[in-house]
Amino acid sequence: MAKINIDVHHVTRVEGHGNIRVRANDGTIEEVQWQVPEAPRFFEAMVRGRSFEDIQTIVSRICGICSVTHSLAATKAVEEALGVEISEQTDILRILMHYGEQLESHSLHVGYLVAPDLLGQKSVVPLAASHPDVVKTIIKIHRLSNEWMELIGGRMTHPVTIKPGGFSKLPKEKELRDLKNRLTDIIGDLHILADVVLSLVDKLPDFKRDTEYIALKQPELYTFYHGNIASTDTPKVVDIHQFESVANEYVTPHSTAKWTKWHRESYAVGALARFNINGDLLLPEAKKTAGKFGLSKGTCNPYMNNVAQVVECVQVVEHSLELLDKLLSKGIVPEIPKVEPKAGEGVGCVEAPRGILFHRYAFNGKGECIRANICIPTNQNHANIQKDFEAIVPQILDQGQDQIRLLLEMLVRAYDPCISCSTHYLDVEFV
Amino acid sequence: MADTVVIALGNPLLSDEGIGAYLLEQLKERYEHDDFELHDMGTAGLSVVHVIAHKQKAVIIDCAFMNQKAGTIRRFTKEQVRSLKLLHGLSLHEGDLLSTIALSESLGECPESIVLFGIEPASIAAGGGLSAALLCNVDKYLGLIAAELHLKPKQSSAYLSKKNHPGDYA
Repeated sequence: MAKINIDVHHVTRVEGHGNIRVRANDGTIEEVQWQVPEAPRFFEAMVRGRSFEDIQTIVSRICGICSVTHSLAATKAVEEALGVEISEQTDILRILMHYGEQLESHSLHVGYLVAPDLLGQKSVVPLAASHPDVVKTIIKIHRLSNEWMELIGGRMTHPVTIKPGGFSKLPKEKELRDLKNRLTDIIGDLHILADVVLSLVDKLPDFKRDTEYIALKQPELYTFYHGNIASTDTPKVVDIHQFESVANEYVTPHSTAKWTKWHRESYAVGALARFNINGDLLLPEAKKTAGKFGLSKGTCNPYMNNVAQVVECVQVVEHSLELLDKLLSKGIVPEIPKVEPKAGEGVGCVEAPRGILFHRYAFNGKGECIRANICIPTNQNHANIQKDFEAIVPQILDQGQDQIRLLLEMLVRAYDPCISCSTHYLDVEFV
Repeated sequence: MADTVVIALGNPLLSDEGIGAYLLEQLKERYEHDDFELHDMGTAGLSVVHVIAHKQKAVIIDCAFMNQKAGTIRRFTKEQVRSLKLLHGLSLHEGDLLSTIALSESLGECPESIVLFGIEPASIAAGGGLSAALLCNVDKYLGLIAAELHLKPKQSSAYLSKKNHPGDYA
């Protein structure tokens, strides 16, 4: 058997790398590694000394794709620390904008990263030429989700309206009715996207590894926003305030990023984790979509995370239509959030598109942050990617170097790690 | 709806990475801009495709690695540069503005004119404000961008307002 020598360097926008490394010789595996740097923990240092009013604005810059999610987790933590109650209207509007981000991230992920794999293209740019209808559908969904977040968050990304206690600006009822009409319309496009993925789903590798999945759980709802921490390994649910006892961060020799483990050596978070924990609570259209794919609780093929994302696209739109009806039936009531600083500590936990996200902050009597801890989903998935690598490489070792590389790249893509979203979008030379 | 869109990219929490957002705020502060759409897109580079769609002109301001002296500003079009970014598509979190523009072209939505203003950073360290190498050139940067857009100065804009000090995060 030939020599296998794979090095895929993930060139991120900052100094970090997420590398795939495989060494094998004559059928013997010498090295299989998913090498990752520490995620940008400097945000934890950056918020120390800052007012409770600034936390959301700062952490919204952690990520351009999950900025709403970070903002909401932080705001929940700040509100708990300061003993702030919010209205049902605020809660629903926040869930709605959170759903907008789920739709944005999932449609981008499936459309920009996964579809090119399945349709044999290197990226979405050539895909737009070879399969224009597919890309136009994806763009339509992505565009709607951007405008949805802008309507409630005041900006497409890095929202500016979220404040402790409520919002600095509320959407108008007419704007919400328009949003409802557009969401009703987009369900048809989501079914088109689902059918495209369904027609190609056989191209996803048939790989299974028994895995512990972790996600938020709430009675009677497929939740992304409220609830406590559940695992597929135990019926016991853990309060979000004890998230450190779930994540159990630890250091491993070949990675500068901390890894996490709960009941096993690793666990997975993300769309498939949420489905495996809450799949029986999907709304009818989303359940129908899952049924098309034969997706059932207990699925442990990580590549099927992409399918779970498609199902969740339908779920968040379907639930948003219910929430919009509820909001509009009562009308939008003007609210002016008023929050006084005080000492305290709080935890905020929400599901980012990539999985469960935890923020914890402590404040002094002046409302200045004295301690912060942010545990992001990508860090929670690193150990699991490594374990998947170790399990799949022996199974595909006879498929040749190029195919092994592709399957491992696709595996990483299935998790869509948020390695760094921080810096220059332009690195050029003049011609 | 405005025919021209002005976009800032970058992360204000990473020193000179925030130059785009800072200049955008200064443009709003110092120049009449009612006829333009202005967007701080932060690090959501892929969403640029939506903001530029069907516009006649887009002006994009970003910290850029161009192998120039720190503080240098270059005006260029996409035809004048070649990207040095190697993308493996492992994550949505890697990206390249020139690829995003290429996607817009493939979709038939791309503005006829896209002008990029790249500013070479001195530092992109976490937590710092803008470096002196860039700060001392802010007026020059604004002058070039305003000339590109034919912007008129506001009557009362001869000073920097306190809320727009470099390093502010909004």
